[in-house]
Amino acid sequence: MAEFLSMGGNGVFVWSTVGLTIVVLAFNVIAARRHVRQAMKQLRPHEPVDSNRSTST
Amino acid sequence: MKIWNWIHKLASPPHFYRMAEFLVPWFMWPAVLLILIGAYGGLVLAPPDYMQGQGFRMIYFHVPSAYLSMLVYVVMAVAAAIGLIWRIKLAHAVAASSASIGASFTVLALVTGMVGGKPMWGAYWVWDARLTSELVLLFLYLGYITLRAAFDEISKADRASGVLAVVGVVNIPIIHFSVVWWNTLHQGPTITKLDNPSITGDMLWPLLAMILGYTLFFVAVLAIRVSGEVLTRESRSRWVGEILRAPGQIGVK
Repeated sequence: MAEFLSMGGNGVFVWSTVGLTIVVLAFNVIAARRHVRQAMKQLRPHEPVDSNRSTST
Repeated sequence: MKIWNWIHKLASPPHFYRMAEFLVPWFMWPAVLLILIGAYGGLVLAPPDYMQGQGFRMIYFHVPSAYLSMLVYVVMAVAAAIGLIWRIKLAHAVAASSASIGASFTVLALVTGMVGGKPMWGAYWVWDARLTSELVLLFLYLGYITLRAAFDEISKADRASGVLAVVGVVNIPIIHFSVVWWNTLHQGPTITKLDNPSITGDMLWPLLAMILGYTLFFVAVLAIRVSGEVLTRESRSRWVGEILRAPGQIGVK
């Protein structure tokens, strides 16, 4: 296991590329979803408020 | 004629929104699976390189990000061109949504390249053609984003940034062929020589899995972003009102 992690002495370099990759992939998903949420948040105030309707199932 | 009707229906924002909502998980989960399989194959199953030992395994994270940084730019430029020529709003939305995704993978390609360059070449950075042209790609993305932000009106931003995207596409073949045209520390093409790739199968398949996974990942993230983009652009239309009253999975999660 320790041998696997050390990557023949290049462990720091290999594992930091793995870490950076995870960060960028996660960033993309989070940023994309936030983009949609913000679009919806900006639009909502323009919608007529329908306070009479209750959300019953 | 029929095909034009079909294209128009497909490119109409409400149709796109509903289709994206349905398709995103079908791209995202296979993407995650392929990336995990590729990472396992690359880090564990692939044999060590006879020159670079275990350190070569960084290519499984560097190459797909570099590939995606270029693919995203081509998608952005083609979408911008379609938007400029045929005035299709959805195409402009695709181009605008691609930029920050492409920029993030360009940063990843550059940084993983620097991290890999240190042990392999002895330097984090050299001003050779491959690295410099990839850095220019980052500046193109950032320029595109900045230019868009300078306009209040979306249609003007679309046109100005669209021209920049189309012109900037000349950089893509320069990046690709830079290692052939100029002297460099960077290694030459390895897998695009399809008739005789200079890499063994055990090393190759995890890389191809990563590349395919990254491509699907891009499609999924792009679809999510374009959904948000069309909501803003079509804010006055009725279908957006309907979606706001009953948001689907894209908006909720």
